[in-house]
Amino acid sequence: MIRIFPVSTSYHSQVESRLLTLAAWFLCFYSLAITLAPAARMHSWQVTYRWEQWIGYAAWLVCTAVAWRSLNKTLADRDPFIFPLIMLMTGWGLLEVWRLSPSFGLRQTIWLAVCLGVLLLLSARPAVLELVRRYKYICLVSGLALTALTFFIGTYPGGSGPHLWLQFFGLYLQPSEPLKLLLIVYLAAYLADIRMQRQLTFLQWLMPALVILGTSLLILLAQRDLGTATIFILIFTFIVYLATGRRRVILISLFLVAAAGLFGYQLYDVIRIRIDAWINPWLDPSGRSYQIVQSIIAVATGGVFGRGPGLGSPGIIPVAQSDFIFSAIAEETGLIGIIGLLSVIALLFSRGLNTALHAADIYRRNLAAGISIYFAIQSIFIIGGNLRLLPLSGVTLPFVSYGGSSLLTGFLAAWILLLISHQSSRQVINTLNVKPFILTGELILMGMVAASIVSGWWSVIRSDDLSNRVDNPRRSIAERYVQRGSLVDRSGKPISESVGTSGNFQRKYFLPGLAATTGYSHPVYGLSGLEQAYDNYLRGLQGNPSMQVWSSQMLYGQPPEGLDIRLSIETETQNLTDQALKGKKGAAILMNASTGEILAISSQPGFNPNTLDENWLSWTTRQDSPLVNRVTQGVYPVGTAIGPFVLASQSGTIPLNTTPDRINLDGFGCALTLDEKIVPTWGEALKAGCPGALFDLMDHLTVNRLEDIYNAAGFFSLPDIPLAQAPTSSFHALDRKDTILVNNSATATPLQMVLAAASITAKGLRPSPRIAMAVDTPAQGWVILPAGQKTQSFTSDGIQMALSQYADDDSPLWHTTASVPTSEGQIHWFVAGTTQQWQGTPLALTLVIEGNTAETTTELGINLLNSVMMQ
Amino acid sequence: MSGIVVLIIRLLVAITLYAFLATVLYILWQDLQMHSELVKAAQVPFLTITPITDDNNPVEFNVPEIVIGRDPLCNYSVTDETVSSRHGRLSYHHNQWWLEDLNSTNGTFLNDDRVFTPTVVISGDEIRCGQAILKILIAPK
Repeated sequence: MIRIFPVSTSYHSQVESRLLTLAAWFLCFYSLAITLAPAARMHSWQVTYRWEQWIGYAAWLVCTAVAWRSLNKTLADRDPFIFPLIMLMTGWGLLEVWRLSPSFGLRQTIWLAVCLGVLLLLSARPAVLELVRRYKYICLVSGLALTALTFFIGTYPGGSGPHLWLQFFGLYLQPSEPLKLLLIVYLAAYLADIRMQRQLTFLQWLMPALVILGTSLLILLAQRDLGTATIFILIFTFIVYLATGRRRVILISLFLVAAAGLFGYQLYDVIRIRIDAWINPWLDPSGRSYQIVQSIIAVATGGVFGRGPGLGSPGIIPVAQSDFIFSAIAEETGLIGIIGLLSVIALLFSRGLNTALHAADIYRRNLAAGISIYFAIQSIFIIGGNLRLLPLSGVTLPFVSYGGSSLLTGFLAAWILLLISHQSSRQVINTLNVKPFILTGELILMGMVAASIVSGWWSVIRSDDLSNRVDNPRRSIAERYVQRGSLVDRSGKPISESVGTSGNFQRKYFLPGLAATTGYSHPVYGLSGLEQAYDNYLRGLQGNPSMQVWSSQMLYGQPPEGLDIRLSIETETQNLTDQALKGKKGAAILMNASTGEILAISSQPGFNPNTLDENWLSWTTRQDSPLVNRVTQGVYPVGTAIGPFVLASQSGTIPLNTTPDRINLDGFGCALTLDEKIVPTWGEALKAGCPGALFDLMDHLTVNRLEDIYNAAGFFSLPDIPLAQAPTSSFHALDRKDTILVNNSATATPLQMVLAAASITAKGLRPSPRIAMAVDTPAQGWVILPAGQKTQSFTSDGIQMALSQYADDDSPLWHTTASVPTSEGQIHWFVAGTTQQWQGTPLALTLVIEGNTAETTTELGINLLNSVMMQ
Repeated sequence: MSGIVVLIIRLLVAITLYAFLATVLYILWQDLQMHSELVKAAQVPFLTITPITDDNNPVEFNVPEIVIGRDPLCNYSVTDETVSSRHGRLSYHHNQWWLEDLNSTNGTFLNDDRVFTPTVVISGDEIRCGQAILKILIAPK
């Protein structure tokens, strides 16, 4: 690097050479990191590396070296810090723009070369400064005319947007950028020349400058370029303050800006949108405040260390390369990088003010101060906007953002600063009042410190909250690169699995019938079901050693590989259940009655999560809502399905030796048709769901308050399962007739019903439902996930009673069927379980069919249980 | 593995950035030290104020700034009704003693010329503050 920046004899050039060498190394490593980023992202060396940003780096190196040699000849006594600081910012911005978009990077590189050419052309002509001083009005008026020209022939470079640009031979120029510099030059010259005349009042004295400022503001406001307009006012204020030392100027100007803001808030939609998005961005994070929310999320994702150059996803923020380059840098280099960048800007500002203090005359002093303030204020404005410290204004970050006009203006201003520092005297001019300079310096540095503190707030304290927001697309991007854990069935067969290779992992679902329960993990539609409930395990954030999670985040900016979760589902049983429900509308759940493990769970109509992209819209709008899990979210009136639990909650033995007096109630018949010629037994009538029989039965019983029975069965409490469930009603009184016939306040979900049924099979113990059994951790292998508590719901006497009526004589099963009329037609329950005679796994089944007939429902249920028991 | 290599490069990025900043700050610090050495080395020539209009004793100063006024807190206080409480200032910079008026009521005069802007003072000059006349003697370096 020494050869690129050779040292001449002067002390200044030694300092500069050392700084430029460090900057060159910094940018070299930055480029290298971008080149290797794909390898880290894919965890492999067999990737396509990114080379294009090296063009930018090479161009930067050449431009810097050429400019440096030229400066050594023409401006040998310049300040040794300004040029390295500016080149560091330019190079950093250039590489980040290349990384975001190579086509913009190429254009910015061309602009850099143009800037260098202009610098070389000017470097031998220091008289230009005096020339623009003499013709200050002509310069400014032509600048204003150029800006006004955008009203007639203005364009927008990228599609549709505000017409703030002029097009020359394929190059776009935003005249309001150089206008800033022209305003500074004009003011510096005006305030220096006007000093002689003392007999005027302050306002008279300032009037010509105010007229010029007013005209510029009118043009800018007419273009709705509010950010630039505000910067104009602030630059004007500070220059006048520094030149006159009247603190009043700042107060009046701040008051005017605030008043204009309030006034504009009432009048202009543009201002209202900006201010609202600033004050409360969380109200509309996907609409008006999308940019600012995504910008803050990017800063939060960066954290302290950043995700690494090329490793973040800053492209998500719209126009990241110009307005939001700061957030892009924040995401990739973290708080460390932000503080570095803010320090560079603060140092540049302080060197600029230092140049002003030592300037040879008042014109140069005003000019240098104005330029430093322009750099500092514009930086604070856009950085503050990106961090939600200030309302968002679409200005560029000087030297860093993409934008040719901005870069050219920046370089022209920097050239003036270098020239002034070259011509400076060693001593401060003795007439100088230093106080305004100190106060201005303090104000600007306070702004920088505030920006650092807010960055720290987002990237450290609020980092986790913001990164985990659902509208942070980085989690689904990470999921394409890191394998998400699988959901497997009891025997280890995959149910949901991410297939593919790093970079294009895709979630595949092998048991679409189970979709309502297992849910989906989709980049656009998010998470649902078990994919959501066990997301932390599946993404590897839980279950892995925390050191590994941390190091993976640190090294790759990704979570570690996900862990597999074993479910209690049996694929064959599930298929049988799906088969049984096929073409119908309803829900089925089969459970191991003693452990609560769910063997099969089905909700129809269902959806196939493999085709979520194509069908999302129709599924969300369809009347029969296929995305709803009817087992946990379907609420059905229980009707006579309460029967087994009525008997089970009795204590002692109650003799029932006569046949029921009636089977119908108020004209409502049994669910299943009985042979009319034979008088049915209690058992036959109850199993068939005859309302009259159940109603009369309760007269003989010890416990006959329905709400107590309902409570014992668990229908007032929410089962402990990590799935979306319908809310349960709290304990309330139930009317007997209403409950048996039709009552919308006596309801249960199929899951609640199957748990109650399981307690009949399991001697009165109601299990806690269980679907996720174990997680495959790298350290300990399969670790069993904790099971919930069992509840003693019924006494053994009661269970005996219930089984004596509801059990079959010829098979080891008990069951009942119920039909309940609802506003959308009949629904049919089939509730069943195995009895003590069954030697295999104790089973409990609940089936709900909407529509169809009770006979079909019963037949389906019996067949399903038989085929499961045959397995 | 690729992650570790990239992490090392990222560390180098951070190190070079902060090395750059540290170098800037270190050189600025050196500059400041050099400056204060220079300031220390720059001897302020002794200045003696001899009152002409009253018979107080002459006072010798070796500080770079002398405020003249009626206020007893001034470096040189004059008990004269026509002198403002902070009347004028003598300060040493650019290898010269300079006189400036601190917005006094009756004005500061150097050899009978009114002082509007800071003016260089040489040995033997007479300063008039209101009606008090002071003779300045500056010792040669």
